[in-house]
Amino acid sequence: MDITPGESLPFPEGFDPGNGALDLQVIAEAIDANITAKLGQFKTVINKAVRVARSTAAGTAFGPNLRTNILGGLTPFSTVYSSPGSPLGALASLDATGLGSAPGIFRAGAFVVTAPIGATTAGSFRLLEIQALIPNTPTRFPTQFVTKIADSEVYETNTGAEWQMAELEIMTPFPDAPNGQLGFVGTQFTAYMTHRNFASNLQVLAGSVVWLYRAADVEV
Amino acid sequence: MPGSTPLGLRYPFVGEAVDAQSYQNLASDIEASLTTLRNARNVAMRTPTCSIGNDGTLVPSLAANTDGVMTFNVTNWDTDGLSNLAVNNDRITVGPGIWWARVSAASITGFTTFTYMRVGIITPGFAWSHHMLDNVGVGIPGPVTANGLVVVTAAGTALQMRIRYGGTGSANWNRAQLQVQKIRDLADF
Repeated sequence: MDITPGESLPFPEGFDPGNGALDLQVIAEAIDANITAKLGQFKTVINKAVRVARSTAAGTAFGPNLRTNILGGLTPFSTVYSSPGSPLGALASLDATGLGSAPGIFRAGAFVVTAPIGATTAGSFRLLEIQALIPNTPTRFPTQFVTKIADSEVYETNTGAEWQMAELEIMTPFPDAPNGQLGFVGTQFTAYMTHRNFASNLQVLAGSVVWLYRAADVEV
Repeated sequence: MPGSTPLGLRYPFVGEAVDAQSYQNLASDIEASLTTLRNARNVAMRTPTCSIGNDGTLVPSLAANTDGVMTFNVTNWDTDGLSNLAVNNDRITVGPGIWWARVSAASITGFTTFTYMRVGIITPGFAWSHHMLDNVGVGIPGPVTANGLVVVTAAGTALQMRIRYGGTGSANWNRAQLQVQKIRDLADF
């Protein structure tokens, strides 16, 4: 048997003993493996890991001048969508659990509606930050985390309630723990709010949305 | 009784007759698998995407402190028949899936006083993203943009751009854009 130069498909040569059935089986299995591999590559591109969550009720209020993790349990977020191949991780930290261990471009974002629970400090600022901590090794104790942040800042002008969004795009070589890497937490995404509404504490309202998805694969 | 590969490519077992039917079976099965592969390629490479805009045209005035829906007059591109501005000039109509969407407006003009302007992405019953500009930190009425992921479960869902401004007088909205791109289907391929 010889093989084709590009896709390595086998075929009988002139001096091979003739066995038509076996020759067809070998070719069929080679074509099957070839198509299966290509289909798998397309599925990786098509079935992007995605998760989206929405807050179902107003969250616990937090004080001014405190960089507060709004995904840390203060606000009740409920899953709106989680792609079938990526079982939902802990939305409390928007970690990359289930998003795959292959290097990739990820986008994490939040649309947040906030309002004071009492008096409003007119013109006070509100800062929304989306942060990613990217480890430099897929180990339990990486020697370094690279921090990336996207943010948006607004000032109160709307009788208390304000609408803002921010989205972060990163490339990480280690989004989720490869099999067998005990204790490796992968890349961590967090959303923080900071405000200066000194007249009362602030809360995240129902209807806020957070999202995280694999935008593209990369080879590193 | 022929054997078959995991994808269902049939071949005769050793000892079975190899005839024209054997080759036809294998060719037909290969074609079916290649059709599946071509469908996957089309899904991967032909992402449905659409952009509609309002280039250089003022939208009729919107009263202050009132939610409005932007209207558009230009289709910048549309790869999947998602817009028809002659019928509905305020939306992109999408089917089930996860969609990335973006809205933007260059500015508002014609108002008396300005305190804030806000743009957002909505489907019936849901707001998926909003962002605002204010007169405290920014001081100027535009540009403003918002983007986000939209989860759509029903066919024929209208995806629209919500607008609102705070102040006095009515405002015209300039050079707005609404864009979508499909990220994936709800179910795996």
